Amino acid sequence: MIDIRKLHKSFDGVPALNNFEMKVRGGSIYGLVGTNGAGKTTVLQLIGGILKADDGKVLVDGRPVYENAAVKEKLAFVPDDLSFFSPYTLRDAGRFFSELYRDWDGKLFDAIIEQFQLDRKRRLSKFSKGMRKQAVFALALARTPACLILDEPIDGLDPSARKTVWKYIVDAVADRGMTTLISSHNLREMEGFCDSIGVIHRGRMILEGDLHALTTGMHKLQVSFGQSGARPEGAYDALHVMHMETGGSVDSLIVQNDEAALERFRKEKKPLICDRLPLTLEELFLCALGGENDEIKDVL
Amino acid sequence: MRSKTSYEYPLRICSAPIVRENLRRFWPAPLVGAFLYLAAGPFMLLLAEDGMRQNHLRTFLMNFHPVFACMLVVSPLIAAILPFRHMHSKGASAVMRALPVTKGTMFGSDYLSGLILAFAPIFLVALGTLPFLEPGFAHFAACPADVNLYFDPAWYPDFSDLILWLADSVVTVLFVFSVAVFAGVIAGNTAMHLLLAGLLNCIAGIIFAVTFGIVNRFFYGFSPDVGAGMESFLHPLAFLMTYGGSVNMAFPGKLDALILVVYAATAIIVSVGACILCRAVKAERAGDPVVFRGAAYIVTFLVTFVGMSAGGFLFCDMLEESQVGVAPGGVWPPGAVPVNFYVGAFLGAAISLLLTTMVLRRTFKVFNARTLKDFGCFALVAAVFLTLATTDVTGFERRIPDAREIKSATAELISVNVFPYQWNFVQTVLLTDREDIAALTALHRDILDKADAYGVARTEPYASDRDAQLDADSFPFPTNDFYIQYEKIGGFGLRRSYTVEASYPLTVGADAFGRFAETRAYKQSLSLANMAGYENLTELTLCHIESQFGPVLSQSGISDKNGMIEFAKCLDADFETLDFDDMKGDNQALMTFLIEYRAPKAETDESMRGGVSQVRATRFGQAIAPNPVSNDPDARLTLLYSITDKYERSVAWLKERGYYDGMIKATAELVREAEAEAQIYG
Repeated sequence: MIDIRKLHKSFDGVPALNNFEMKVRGGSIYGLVGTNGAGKTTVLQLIGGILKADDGKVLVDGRPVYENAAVKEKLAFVPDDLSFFSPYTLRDAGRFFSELYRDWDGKLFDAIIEQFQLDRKRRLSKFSKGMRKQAVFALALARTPACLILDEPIDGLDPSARKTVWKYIVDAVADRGMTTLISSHNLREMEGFCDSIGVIHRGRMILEGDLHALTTGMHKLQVSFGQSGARPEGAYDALHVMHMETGGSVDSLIVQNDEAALERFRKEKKPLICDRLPLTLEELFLCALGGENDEIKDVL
Repeated sequence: MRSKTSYEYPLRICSAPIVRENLRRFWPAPLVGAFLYLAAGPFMLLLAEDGMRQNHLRTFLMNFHPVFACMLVVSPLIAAILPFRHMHSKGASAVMRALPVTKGTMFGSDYLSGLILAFAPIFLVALGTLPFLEPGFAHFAACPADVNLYFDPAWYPDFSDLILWLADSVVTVLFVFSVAVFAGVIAGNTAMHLLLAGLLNCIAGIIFAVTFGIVNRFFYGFSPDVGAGMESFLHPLAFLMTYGGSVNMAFPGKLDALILVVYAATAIIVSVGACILCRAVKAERAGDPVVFRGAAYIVTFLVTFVGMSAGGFLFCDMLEESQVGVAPGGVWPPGAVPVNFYVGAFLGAAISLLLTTMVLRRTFKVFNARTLKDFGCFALVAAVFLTLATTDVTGFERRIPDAREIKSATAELISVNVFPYQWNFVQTVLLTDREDIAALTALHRDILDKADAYGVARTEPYASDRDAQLDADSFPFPTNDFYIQYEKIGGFGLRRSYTVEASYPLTVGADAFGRFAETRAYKQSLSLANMAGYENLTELTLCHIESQFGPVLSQSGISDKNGMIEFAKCLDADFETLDFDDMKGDNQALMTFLIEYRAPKAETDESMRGGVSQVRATRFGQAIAPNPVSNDPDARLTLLYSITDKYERSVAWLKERGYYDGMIKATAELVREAEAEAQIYG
């Protein structure tokens, strides 16, 4: 559905994206995560046809997006900055978009508005930030787009509203194969809904793929050899350790090994404790960024 | 059926939903405009008394009414700002660019919306004015020959005048709007949009005025007439203001339509340029002061240019009077070193460049190498410009064509104190004979040769703060003006204007001026036959001009038409025989006549009648130099004509008809009265 190849984009000579590559499968929910200033919004705006790439290609269904009204007709972009909608009421904005998009679904729009209990005669400038996000989400989803692009849409929403947003997204993906591209800092939530994930750091894609495939072969272990200092020399040499933290006598490890290797480790090193815990997206993200610097910790 | 979006029509120039949405959002703006228009126009007409309604209508239809005039500027500016506002905010820009339209379609939609917003009040007020007009389109057929017809009480506006007003207003609004849209595309935020719209709408006029002002001050001989009327071609509003509020009335016939077409075509070209630029604007530039780096340089240079010129002129006006004795606004005397101008220009340029840079970079920290580099580039361009504008590198000042290359020439002498005409400020001499032209070129060269000693500020005696000098004590004026125009054979003409001290033609320039004054062309041009026309003479009355209260008339005179014509012929015959010594103004006048004659009609060649062009006449005031052309058959003009004892034929004619003794006596009586007045009133 979305294919980005060798993309370069800079602002006033400062590179924002450098040789950026990305692939989003049709009908999937793709989570784009990254630190502040990593280039997430730039990527989304390039896909939305808002920004023009300096070099490289941004293709949606094999066609370039920029200055392509036909492609943009099938996209719905929800920006982070919603100031444009402030003077509108939901009724006026709905009327405008219904005239502009052929596939406008008035019933769906009404249903979402109803669900969020939004006043359609009130200006959006009078709405709270969360309500404004709900309203703009309704305007985007009612266009029944083939691809929904959301720039940090759930930040600032209450748990109930988030649940509703995800419900509509998942329904649209299931019912009509809508592709969803979503950027967020909320990794736990992304983990629950995304099929694929892309980790962007300093303008480059450093990790991308199916969430299940990425976590396959990666394990989080809690290992103890008894009292502090009892760990034998070269205890973990047989493992491919991605990340390790030590707290007292317990070591927390993220390793990339198959089941047999883990079993061999257990038999050969005989740790007192060797528990396998579920690997979270946060931990995967941390591993991908390769360290525990403050910047990454902020994101987590 | 739902509207289709532009993707189905890749070349579609606008999107109906966007236009509708813009109109839905911004309809209050034209509503307020229409309300102001209607309140100032049709509503006032309703309240006006019958006799006043016609005047009100004329005021509206010539855009003289302040509201009508302001609407021509404010309405298109607002209409250009509102629909394009989304380009100036990052959030709005992101949403609009994500819509399924191309940037070209978006521009077209916003442009069309803006035009509707700008034009709506004009058409509404036109509809509101209809009931107050005479039905019919008579004024299309009888297009006025000059502006004065607009004030003819018998002339009541009809539908054709409304259509002409509509054409003027629509084209003016279109022009202002298109330039403002262009500014909006370059600007990155709304405040800058407004500033740039103002700057770009005025820039042609500013550059013209500055260049003209500098050349006018620094080039001795530069004729301000060269630019007369030019300023009005730089912007339709300037045109409307210059020509009495109506483009159509100023140039009857074909030219008016041509000017409207030129302005409309210019507006379209500017709009197309804006559209092309709009497609190149990057979304990430929204919110910046200007969206193109090149535009930032251009804006900085333009503002710095204006600042440089303003600084230069300001310093001249502040300091020049005390240092070189030139009145504010006056031309520099030949050889004067305009240090003040350069100091002012430098300070003006530096200050305006710094301020503009601060605004464009949105920081006070502009005192760095980059700014210095910009200033260096500007200084280089300014140095070239000022060198060309202030230094006579092309030999402009000394250029006088060879008499053999000249087909004809015209010389206008202003306030030259020679007989026979008194207080007749402008005397036009038309020369076609080779010898006569050679006399004029000799005079021209003499003026240049003696410029260092006798050249003075051209506008000095007529500057507003010198009005006090225009009393009886100051006659004759302390300066003379010479306008010289050559028509070359198969080539361009040449026009020069000089101001010299009043004593020049009678002292150091007497030889050159005398030779010119004795030419056949001079005598013929200044004959009564040419100045007034014998058949036009209506009254010839004896008078005295030395009175404190202006010319005092006597009861004596010649009243019968044939007598007047005969006497005028004698005067011309005597004038023809005078040599320059007889014409010098310090000779004793025997008697002076106030000669009244019918004003030539408007269609008459004005250059041959009275010799006062309209442009010049306004410089000296209507009381002294009345409008020489008129459509009023009862309009009269006057000349003050003095004779000396060298007017032998004329004196003989007066004696023969028995007028002479009475007139000598009456003149003596007038002189006595004037002297008595002088004693009483000091």
